Amino acid sequence: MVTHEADIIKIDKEYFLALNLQDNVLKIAITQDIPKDVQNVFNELILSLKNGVFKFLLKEQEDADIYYDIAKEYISQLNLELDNIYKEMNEYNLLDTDN
Amino acid sequence: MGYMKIDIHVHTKKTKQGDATTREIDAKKFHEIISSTEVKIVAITNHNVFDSTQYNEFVEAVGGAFQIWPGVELDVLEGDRKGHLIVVVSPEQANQLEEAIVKVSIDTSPDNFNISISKVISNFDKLNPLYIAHYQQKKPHLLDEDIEQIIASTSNKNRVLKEATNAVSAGIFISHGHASIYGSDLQNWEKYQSISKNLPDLRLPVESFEQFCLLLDKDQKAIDTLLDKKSHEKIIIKPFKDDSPLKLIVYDDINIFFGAKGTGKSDILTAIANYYSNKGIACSKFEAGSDTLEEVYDFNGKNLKPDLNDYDIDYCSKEIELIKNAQEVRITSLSKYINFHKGSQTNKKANKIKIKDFLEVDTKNSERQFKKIQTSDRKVKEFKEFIVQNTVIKGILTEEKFDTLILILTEAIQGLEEKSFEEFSNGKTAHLFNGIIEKFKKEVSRKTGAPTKPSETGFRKYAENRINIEIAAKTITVNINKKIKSTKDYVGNLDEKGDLYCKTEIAIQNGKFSDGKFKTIKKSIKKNTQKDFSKKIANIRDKVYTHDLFEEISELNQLEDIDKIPTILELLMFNKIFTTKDSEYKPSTGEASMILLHKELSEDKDVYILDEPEKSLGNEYINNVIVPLIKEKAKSGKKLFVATHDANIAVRTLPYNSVYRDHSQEGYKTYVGNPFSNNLVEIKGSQEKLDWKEVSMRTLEGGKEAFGERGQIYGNP
Repeated sequence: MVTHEADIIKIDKEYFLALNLQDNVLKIAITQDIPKDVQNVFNELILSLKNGVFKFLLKEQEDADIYYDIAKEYISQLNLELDNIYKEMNEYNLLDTDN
Repeated sequence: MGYMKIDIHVHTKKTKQGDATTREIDAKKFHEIISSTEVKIVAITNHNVFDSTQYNEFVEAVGGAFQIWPGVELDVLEGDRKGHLIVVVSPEQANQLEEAIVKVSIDTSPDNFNISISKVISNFDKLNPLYIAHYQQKKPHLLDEDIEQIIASTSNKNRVLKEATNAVSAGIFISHGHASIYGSDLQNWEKYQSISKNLPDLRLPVESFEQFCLLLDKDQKAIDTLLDKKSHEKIIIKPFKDDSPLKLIVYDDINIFFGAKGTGKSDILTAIANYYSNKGIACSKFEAGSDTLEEVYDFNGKNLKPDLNDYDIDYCSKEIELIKNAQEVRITSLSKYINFHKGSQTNKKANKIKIKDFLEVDTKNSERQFKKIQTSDRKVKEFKEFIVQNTVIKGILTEEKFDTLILILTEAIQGLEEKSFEEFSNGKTAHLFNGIIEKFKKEVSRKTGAPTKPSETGFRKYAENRINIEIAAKTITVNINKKIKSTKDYVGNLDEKGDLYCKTEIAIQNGKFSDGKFKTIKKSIKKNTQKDFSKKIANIRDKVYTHDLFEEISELNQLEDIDKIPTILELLMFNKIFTTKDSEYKPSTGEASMILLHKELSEDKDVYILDEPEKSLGNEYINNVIVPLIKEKAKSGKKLFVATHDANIAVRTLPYNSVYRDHSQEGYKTYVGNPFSNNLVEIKGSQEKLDWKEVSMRTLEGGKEAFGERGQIYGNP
């Protein structure tokens, strides 16, 4: 399974979980609730799954803070769900055929 | 009781210099050739000679397979006029005929022989013969005055056949396009088979020369005897408003109803149709001009009820419902994670309860697997049952192999059942596990006031929702893009224009289809709604993983009359056209009438009921197509009830039954009769008799022509 890197980044005082896909960095805001943005990230993740299953690995931090804990939790759940959805897409022949 | 043909004029010998040798024939050949045709009565009429030896030889060879009447074709000389006169006598009189000819032709050869009309009468009339005069186009012919002389001096004027009226009375069905109305005047026996097809039919099954003569005399008893042989029945109907019963004898033949407009002919036909329908005999009244060809071929699509399964197309009702009702799934907000982490740091007791922090497990995979196993299990069981019941397979396989096959299938079923339980158990365990996590979370949260840990990011549910929409939209797209093969139904023949077909094209509105000629099959749905629906489905499919998805779904639900599209069936459109030679063709009113009537008569029924079939039809078509078709049906024993104003139909078909309706100051009257007796008798009260020919000529269109008063039935214009 392909493993992509995930990281916590700070932009203008706001923390984001950055999911590094090959050519695309998807950002989920941790310190604010913007469901629309999260949905857009999910849409991208589904489209990426069509090309093959993957998971994220959070970059280790020396001084882990609450955001790190949150991100770790979130990623571990997300990885499980990505795997489930990939299986389901495969079952329904929704994967891109050249994979 | 089939039709039979009569040939009252054949040559079997070359008797004159001018006779072709091809007129010669021996007994064996004579038997063979006549037997291969529908001719059942043949008169031997050689020029000025009757050879009783040949005649007897022929009679012996034929052995009763058909009737042979003795006769002669005499050269008649009246003043300076020469004409031919056929004299035919009863087979009982064959020898006397020969004697009479020998007597008048002493010292002459057949080439030089001639005889005056008075001598014909004095020598032949005692034999009670039929006289058939060459007349008009048939050369050399006698003049009217000569024929009048025969009629005046013969002992039975009914037996002088000269014109169609007498032929009709005799029940002879006049065929067109033949040089002689009464006989072939055969030149060459090699051609007899094809020539015989144009010979006249006898509508009544004449059994002897004597019976034929009785028919010419219009002898009621003889006619009744022959009519009685035909299947018939008595029917009682109540066609009129006053509920008065009408008793009719109807024949498995042509039953004609005629009379002026408004005399209730159509009501009688309706009552007859009901009479037979009530008896369970399929029949309906065909009314010319009541329906257009387009109506009959359902151009409005009223009866067009296609079943999509027939075209391997899914109705997609579940898919359409899913999309219409689809809603966005809420995802877990990140603040829940923050709240949980903040709260959990302050409550150490709650932290000890680890179960609440477990991740929820996937249940869907087990559910999917369980369904697949269940389907496989059902199918294998069905297959096993099929094999067990199938004697063919049992016969092909050895007993050992058959048992092995059953064993394998039994093992497979067993394995599937075990697997099925395993997956069922997995699914339930996962559900229970998730339920426990949920319960603990709630309880801990309730007791400590601390927020619960989110059990999922919401990605799975979010993705599942969209995946389901994608599958539904794709399924609909695949099905609405399937093509339905057009169908072609044979409608009828338009002579040189070729065969006419009704072509039905059915298309599914896939969002791109635009042909103004197509109409919606479901009338309550507008074409625009169909098109917008399919376009929206395409948009939904394309935007399933974008933020605009639910906006598209909302727009779909706002389409006018969207509720009227629960399945793909409502997206169907159709177009019907008539075609000839693969191009569109619009039949004229006359052509449409022709085809409808032809269609009615082409259907295999026992009872045909035709109300004024001649409407909008040309004489030529009536004569060349409809009359022969009606005759054909009668020939095969069908009952035909025809109300008509057309003499070609009422007279030339020589119906077994003619019903005449009349209205006068005395009220309505019904007369029944037939062409053979030439009578029409009032069925109630007075028993008043009318002359069938006179009434027919007076009331029917083309009556005079039908009786040949203008000579056209002689075949040449």
